[in-house]
Amino acid sequence: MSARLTDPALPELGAAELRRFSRHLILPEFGLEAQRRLKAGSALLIGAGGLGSPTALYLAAAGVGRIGLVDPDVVEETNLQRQVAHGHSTLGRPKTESAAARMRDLNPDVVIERHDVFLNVGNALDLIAGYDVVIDGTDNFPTRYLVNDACVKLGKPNVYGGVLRFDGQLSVFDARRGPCYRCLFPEPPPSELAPNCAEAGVLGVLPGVIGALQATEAIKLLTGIGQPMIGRMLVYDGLDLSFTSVDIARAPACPCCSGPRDEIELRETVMVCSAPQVGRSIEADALQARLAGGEALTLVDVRNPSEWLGGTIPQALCLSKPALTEAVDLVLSGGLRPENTLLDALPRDREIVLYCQSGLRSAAVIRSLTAAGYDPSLLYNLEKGFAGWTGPRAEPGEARPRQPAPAD
Amino acid sequence: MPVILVPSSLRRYTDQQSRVAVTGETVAGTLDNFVGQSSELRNHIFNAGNLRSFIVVCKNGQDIRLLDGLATPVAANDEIRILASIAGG
Repeated sequence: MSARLTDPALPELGAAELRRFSRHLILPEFGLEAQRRLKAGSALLIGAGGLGSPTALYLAAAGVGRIGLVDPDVVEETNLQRQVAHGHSTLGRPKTESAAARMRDLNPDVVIERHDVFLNVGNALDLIAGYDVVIDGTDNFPTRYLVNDACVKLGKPNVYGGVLRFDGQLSVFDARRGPCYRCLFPEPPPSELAPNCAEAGVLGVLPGVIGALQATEAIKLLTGIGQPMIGRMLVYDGLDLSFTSVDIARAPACPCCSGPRDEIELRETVMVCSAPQVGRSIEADALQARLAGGEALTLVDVRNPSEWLGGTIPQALCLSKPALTEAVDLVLSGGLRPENTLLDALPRDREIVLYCQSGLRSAAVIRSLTAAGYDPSLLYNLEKGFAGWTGPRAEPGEARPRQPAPAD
Repeated sequence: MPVILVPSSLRRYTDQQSRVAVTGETVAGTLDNFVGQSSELRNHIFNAGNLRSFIVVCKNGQDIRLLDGLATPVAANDEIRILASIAGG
């Protein structure tokens, strides 16, 4: 790392830089040398989204000499609730281009290297090898495991941040000095237990909190000041507004970092669904044809009320998964008869098509309904969910979600 | 009574409560009482009696693997934190 460079090897700061970074330079723990180390240093941001936005802006502003951005996506309207490096003016543009423009505006001297690609088994080592510090701001488990394994193999520190709903996590995984990500979480959850932000939601400011902390850790690693979060994980709860640091252990039999580094082989992590498949499935085209033909089937949107308001299939009955699961639990425990619950809206002798955003939650509802005595051969899961629906939509404001009348 | 600190991804099983007081003399016992009758919650945390590979449990801020694992004793004022891996970014 650049922190090991001797003083004469560190780049000099010009007059403009001395003015720009004056608030850093007067910090006794930081000073001129740390600023020169930042200028000599480099960071690779995997993901230029919620976490990557504040990290990219703060690292550029702080004077990190060279910053790489890895993200294959373009800016979408739904990103702007939290991805503050982007804006309306860059909708539809590559995220790396959008973020780079903001970073240059903050600090024209920073060298920005754009990588508009998915990080994959084939490119991960080449991309990561060229930087001092890696910052994991991705939005999916397979990439997180790939980032971890590549960093362990190359001996790079991985500044990890993760967010969901109101919860955040932060740690520095450096297998040379402490646990790696796989020591803590050897494998990803099965897909039915792993909602992403699009499904479970995320408070917009949450990645701002965690991303800013990732930038802090990256600056500490590049300059050598302070104590990095190695062997510890910061757990943030936005609802209670609590920050808790927990001590985390290196796993003696870690599937990644317990053996020789050069024997680590990168492999693709495949998310698998461990729950048994119950019921039938139907493709969007087939459902559209059946609805157009006026068939008497019941269509149920099991997503949450906030998702219904963002658009749904016009014929759908809106019954959320939590409400249906509660109804099934009440019936199975003998507390209520089915006709006195939401299940009254779901005929047992006709075909029912259920959907959520991706198909995971509706699959779980089909398992619940089967446990409650519904014939699984009459229950269909819409393949790829509402995300894969290409037919007519009731857009926001066009129609109120249809719900059954409350039971008397 | 020991308290279980519940991550938001599991609060749909706890009426959105972030802290749940349960009895138990070991981490295993408190977790067993915590999951109670909910087969969905049990399935989320355990697989064939073992903690799932994406769940970490801490007692008073320490990973129980640094202690005695699920057999770690639990006292009345202890806090048991469940950490679930999250991938959002």
